Amino acid sequence: MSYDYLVKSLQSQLASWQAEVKEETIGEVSQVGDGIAKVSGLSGVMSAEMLEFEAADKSKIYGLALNLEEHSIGVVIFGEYEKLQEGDKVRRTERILEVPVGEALLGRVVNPLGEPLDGKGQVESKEFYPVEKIAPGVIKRQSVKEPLQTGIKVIDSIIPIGKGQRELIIGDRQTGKTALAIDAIINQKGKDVLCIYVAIGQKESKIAKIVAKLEEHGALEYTTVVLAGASESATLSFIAPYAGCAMGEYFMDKGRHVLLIYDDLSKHAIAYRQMSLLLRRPPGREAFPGDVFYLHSRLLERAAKLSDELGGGSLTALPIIETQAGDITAYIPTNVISITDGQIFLETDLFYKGIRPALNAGLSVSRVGSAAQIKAMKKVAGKLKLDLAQFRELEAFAQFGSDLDEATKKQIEMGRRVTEILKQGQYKPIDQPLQVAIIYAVIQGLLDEVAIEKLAEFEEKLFNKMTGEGKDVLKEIGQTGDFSEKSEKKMKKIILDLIEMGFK
Amino acid sequence: MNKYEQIKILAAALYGAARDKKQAELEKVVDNFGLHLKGKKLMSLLPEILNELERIYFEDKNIAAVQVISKNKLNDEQLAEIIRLVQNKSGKSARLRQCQDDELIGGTIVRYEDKLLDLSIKNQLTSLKKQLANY
Repeated sequence: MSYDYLVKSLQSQLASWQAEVKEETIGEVSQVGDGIAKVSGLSGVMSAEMLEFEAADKSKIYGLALNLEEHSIGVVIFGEYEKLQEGDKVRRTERILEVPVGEALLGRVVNPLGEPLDGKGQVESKEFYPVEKIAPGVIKRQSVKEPLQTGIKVIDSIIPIGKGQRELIIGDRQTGKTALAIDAIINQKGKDVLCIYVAIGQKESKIAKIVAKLEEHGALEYTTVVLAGASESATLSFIAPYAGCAMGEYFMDKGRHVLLIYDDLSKHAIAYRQMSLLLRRPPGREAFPGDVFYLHSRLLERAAKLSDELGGGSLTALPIIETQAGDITAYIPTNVISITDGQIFLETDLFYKGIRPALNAGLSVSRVGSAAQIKAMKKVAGKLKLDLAQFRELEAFAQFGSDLDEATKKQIEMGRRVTEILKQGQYKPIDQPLQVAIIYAVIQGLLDEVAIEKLAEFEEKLFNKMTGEGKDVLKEIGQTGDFSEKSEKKMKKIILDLIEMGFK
Repeated sequence: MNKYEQIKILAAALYGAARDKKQAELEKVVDNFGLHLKGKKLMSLLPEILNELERIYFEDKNIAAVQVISKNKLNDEQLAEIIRLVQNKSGKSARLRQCQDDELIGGTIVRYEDKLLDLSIKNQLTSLKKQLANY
């Protein structure tokens, strides 16, 4: 680079530079602590506006104006509030909080402000979406009708989830809530569904493990992880789900399908409670503020299936709630249950009985129902639900074994087989056509002769055989969503052949 | 009651009592106020009470307190210019207070109410630096 060139470019830069004089509105910190600052001055500030604090060491810290009072403003601070002092200057930005959105975020781990946490460099994004946005209205939506395949047999068959639905995953700690969500993400590979995993107040070690697993299964390339760690301020936890939702809405507006997981909203409510109490808002039940219902309803209402005129994109939300000792009647669980379109209820007892996913089929529902199922699955799963329900009623009698009549015994046997078939390992999502095949086998009573202990082995062999011999059946189910009589016959033959080969 | 509320209440009380009072009466009010502070052991709040008192007075009389920060002392003509500027912008009469700050290099900073007009060379150099660093 020559000396002349340097001078020239500098000259052109200087020529384009203009001393800009702007009148700024500034305020002063009058009180600061616990991530909250009281600021005086700043007339005309908007609610939920971003404010810029200038710390004593000239670094910039951002905050969010939440309480607008007569003589002061209550601001929650993102980041290191310890650096702030009384008397520090605060500037308006005249912007509502925004996050970067777009393709650049896929495969990344970011904090709720869109800043990278994975050491892969800056997020190159040109577009921004406001964090808080009003959910699409009636005109902009259409009913939920396409299935979102989770790859988990028990969910896809009994409590199907549709694109644009909000399905709650609820259960005690250590019942496999996150595992279920991660499996659902892994299963979206090659299905043109983008995933956003929002971790709220989670242990960073757990997130590191999840990211590694997603990478291992090739799922990270279509996934964004939004992380507000346990050690970070409550403010970041508070905006994390809204930021994740904004990132998802961008893709929805582009006509694509998005799966959003909020892990978990109980910690989100706790973070919001902390902020509210520090802002001196009056506490209500369980010390949560009065608007904690609205906090979650406005978030989950943003899940939608857009009308065809708007591109037909969708945003499916899977919020997670952690209960204490199975108590789903606490404040936050009841709120979120009433907001969502159904819940998947996981139980500790079932988990330790070895039924994994530990899903309680009685308490779990999906209000969208079979509208979100392919025809082939509808055919086989209708009877499955009935069998499971009858089994639950009779289960208590199972111990009387020999005293029972033939019909009851048969029901119980059937129930046991169905329960066994619905078990599934972690990180092993199963494609819909294969699910149809195994459920078909058990529902038709073809497996009555096979010992329960051998069912897992049988399932594996069946999947192998179906992908080989029954390739065209799987293809038909995959493409048309249904199976013809001819395919049904073939499927049945494959199953019976396999039983003959050593499962009697 | 916290400290800030106490300061506000005391300042408002003093202003209310001293308003429209003449020489002798005014002295009595101030004396009594001093005795009250002494009796209640509130003397340490005095500087802040005076600040608050000034704020109340300016608000009542519709005056904008203007702080002018510059490197060297400004001459009367320049000050008159600033007063005109603030009066036009805020619609209030202005009361100036001058400060000096060597770090500014040149130019002035004008502050009134919660507004800030940064006309200093230092600020312009910072913004130039920002622009050059962006490329």
